[in-house]
Amino acid sequence: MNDNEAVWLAKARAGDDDAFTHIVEAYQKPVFSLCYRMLGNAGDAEDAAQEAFLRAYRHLNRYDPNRSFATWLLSIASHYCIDRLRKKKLPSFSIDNEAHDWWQPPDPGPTPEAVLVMDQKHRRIRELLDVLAPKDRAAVVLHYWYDYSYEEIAESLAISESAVKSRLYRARRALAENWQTQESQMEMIESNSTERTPYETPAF
Amino acid sequence: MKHQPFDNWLLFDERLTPDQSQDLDQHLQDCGHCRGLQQSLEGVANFFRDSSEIEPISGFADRWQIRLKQEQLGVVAARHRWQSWITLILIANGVSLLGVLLGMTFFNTFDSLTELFMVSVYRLTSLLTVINIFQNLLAIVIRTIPGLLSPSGWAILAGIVSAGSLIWILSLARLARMPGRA
Repeated sequence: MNDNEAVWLAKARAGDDDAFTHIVEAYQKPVFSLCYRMLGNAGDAEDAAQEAFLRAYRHLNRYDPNRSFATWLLSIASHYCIDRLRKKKLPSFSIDNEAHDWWQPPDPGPTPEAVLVMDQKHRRIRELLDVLAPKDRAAVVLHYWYDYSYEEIAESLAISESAVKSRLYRARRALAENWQTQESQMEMIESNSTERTPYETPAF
Repeated sequence: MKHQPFDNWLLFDERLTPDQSQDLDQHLQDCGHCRGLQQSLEGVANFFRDSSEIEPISGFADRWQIRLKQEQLGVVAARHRWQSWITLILIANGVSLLGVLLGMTFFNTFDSLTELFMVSVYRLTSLLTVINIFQNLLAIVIRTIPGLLSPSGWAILAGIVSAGSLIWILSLARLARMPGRA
């Protein structure tokens, strides 16, 4: 945590909304990203990220300054997403219904091809993660995207380190199987498309 | 072919000793199943780590502030609702208590319900009589006042009252616009 953050947090604890807004600005990207990976669509991710920040602000007096603020904040976001997934049993979301303007790619001016590639990538990630139980998914997201150690994941999800290991073990197996299925499907599509001659149409 | 402990080593993703690494490499050369598992795990990990962070649409912090304000207003409104309910309950209790006390007093004062009814009718008649007297007095005043001034006199009086009201309203508006006032 840098000095600015410590000052903002101190002010926010004293009830300064604007100070906490600086915190929101600083952490919006990781929190939103986590929620997006967990929930699979931008609308729910926005709502969950907003709610996570509200909860953090409401319970700021419970935050221990000796701990990492990012870990505490992401822990709140993870728990909120887990609860939401459990309550909702989130249906898989079609990319066609996705509002692309909810997220902004890092490139300020992506070409349509780049947007398409990114969409496909996001869809593939979502399909991979969809097979996991909410808590397993949270462990995977924190491990792969945030490089959290087992200890940090355990702290964030309020479970033991051995539970983290077994959840990741189970999740890796499911992900690997899902990955293999996706790869074989893609190979099949590619082989079908290369078999057809350039002038040939599906009608023939 | 036996896949253990190699399967577990791959899935637990923990640091292996040099001997274990050598055994695993040897096994992977011979076992297609474990090689497939390893390749899939590497594929997933690289795919995840290569995907960039996703940003929310710009103005996230502003939207958060609006949501915070809405929540705070909701909390205040809820508190007011509770206060209103508590006040209403207290008033209702007070009125009920008063009713009970009055009822007890009446029952102690009067010997029978008939007597209570007669007194009530008498009081109601008295009240209606008083209202009637005030109504008659008001009618006399309304009939008398127009004769006090001529029509032009009434027009001048109305003009003076209107001008006074206008000056008063303008003064209030100017005061409200003064700096340092909400």
